[in-house]
Order: sequence, then C-alpha cells, then structure tokens
Amino acid sequence: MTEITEEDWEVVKHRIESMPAHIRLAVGGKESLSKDDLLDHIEKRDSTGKRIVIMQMNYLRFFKTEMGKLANE
Amino acid sequence: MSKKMLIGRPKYDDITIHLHYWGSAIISYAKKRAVDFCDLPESKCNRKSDIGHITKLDPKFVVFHSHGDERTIYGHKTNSEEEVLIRAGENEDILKGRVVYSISCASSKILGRACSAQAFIGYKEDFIFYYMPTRLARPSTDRVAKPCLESTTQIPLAIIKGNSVENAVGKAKSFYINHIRQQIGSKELEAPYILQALIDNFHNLEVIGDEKAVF
Repeated sequence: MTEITEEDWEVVKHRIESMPAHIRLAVGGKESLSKDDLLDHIEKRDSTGKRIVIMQMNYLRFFKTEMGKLANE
Repeated sequence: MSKKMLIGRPKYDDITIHLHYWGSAIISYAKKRAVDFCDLPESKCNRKSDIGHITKLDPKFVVFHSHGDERTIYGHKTNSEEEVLIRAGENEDILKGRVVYSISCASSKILGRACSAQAFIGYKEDFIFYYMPTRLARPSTDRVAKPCLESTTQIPLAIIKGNSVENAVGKAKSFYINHIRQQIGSKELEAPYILQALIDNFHNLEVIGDEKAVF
C-alpha cells in the first residue's frame, strides 16, 4: 500500500486547482468527476481521493525519472 | 471455419458513450476481416443475452467495453442498476479457454485471475481518461479523450488482425508512448492531465495467461 504524506495531498490539491474546468476525469469503472468533484474527494480524503493522489504522484514520479529518457530517444 | 467474437458495449452515461463509440471502430474492423461477430450494444448488453450468446456462438475472442470492478464486468443499466454480466465466484467459467479483452476497471485484478481464460487482457487498476463533456454528442471530435481510448483500442484491432496477445499489447503500448511524446511537446492546457492518464493506463495494462495466444 502506497503511503500518502501530507505533502502529497497538498501537491495534488494544487495540481487539481490548476486543472481546466472544461474537462472531466472518467474513472472507468466508477464515475465521471469534474474539477470540483476531484477537489471535494481530496478534501474528504476518501477512497476516491486516495486513488486520485496515488495516480498523480505516480505520474509525477514517473515524469521525474522517465520523461527525460523518453524525450531524448 | 470463421473466427467468432463477441463485443458487449452498453451506453448510458458519459463513460459508456465513449466506450460505445470506440467499440464501433472494433466492429468496423471485424467486418472488414470477415470475422463472425456478435455485437451486444446498449440494452442488448444484459446478462441473459450475453451468457446466451457466449454459450451459443462459442466465440474465441470476447471484448467488454463496459464498467466493472475487480470481480465484475457490468452490462447495460436497467432500473437504475447496472446488470452484472460476469462476476468472479458466480459465472467466471464462461470465459474459460477464451481470449478476453476487458477495459472494465481493475477487472484483471481478481476476475482475470479467476476465470481461466486462455489470455485475459485488462487493467489492474481503474482505466482512466479525461474528456470534454461538450463533445459527448460527437465523441470522435474529443481530442482530450482520444489518446487513451485510441491506444487501448489497438489491442482488439491487432488481435482481430491475427497478432498474438503479446504483440497486440505491444502495439497498444507503442501508441501510449507516441501519445505520451506528443503530450510532452504540447502547449495545450489539458496536456499534463492527458499525460497523467496515459502513464497510469500504460502501467496498469496487463495480461493474465498465455501471451502467445492468438484469435
């Protein structure tokens, strides 16, 4: 189980706040989430909020380690 | 002897509108390749019809473009509830020996491992994509949704063409990587979010069973 730190919650909250309001996130098996829905789940720190944070943090970690390599291939 | 496949693609919310649309591309290609297919769109994607057609047609390749969870693949929504098509512990044996591609969220996690399919291709966590609600009437024009959905659709297209499961997943991953590269170079406001979804799906795509299986 990935541990979510206080800093992770804050980083993801700020990322979602920058998200354009005209797009939504489809979480295939469950629901379709607007920017406000995403922020609400993060605020409540419920299971959907945790999934969003894990997705975003995986992306940021991947970006840090792999994107440089991909871009230069 | 003709190749037989079945595709289930309900349509009742934003997500299934997109999955239904991309399912049409699979059907068009199957027609071109003279595949004997059974299409279960919208309300036809129910448990009775789905199980009946799998039993009767005995398709080697089965595609689910629908909602799901770790144990379950759902069909169309009737009376405000999604109908259970296949659930681990109930009727997963119906998939035994088949090549299965399921976009349904996290279905590979438990169902994929329980069903004894020859090969089960799915996502071990939620399949995700961003989209523009203003484009729901014409999903083909949704440039935000396209990268993830076009990438994953390469799997059934390649399998219909005769590729092994391993090669089909490889083709999808190539599409994911190409879209990742495009989004890295994009100045569109949505690019960082599309990128996040592409990377998440890329890592969660997996095959349970025989990677050398062919249709």
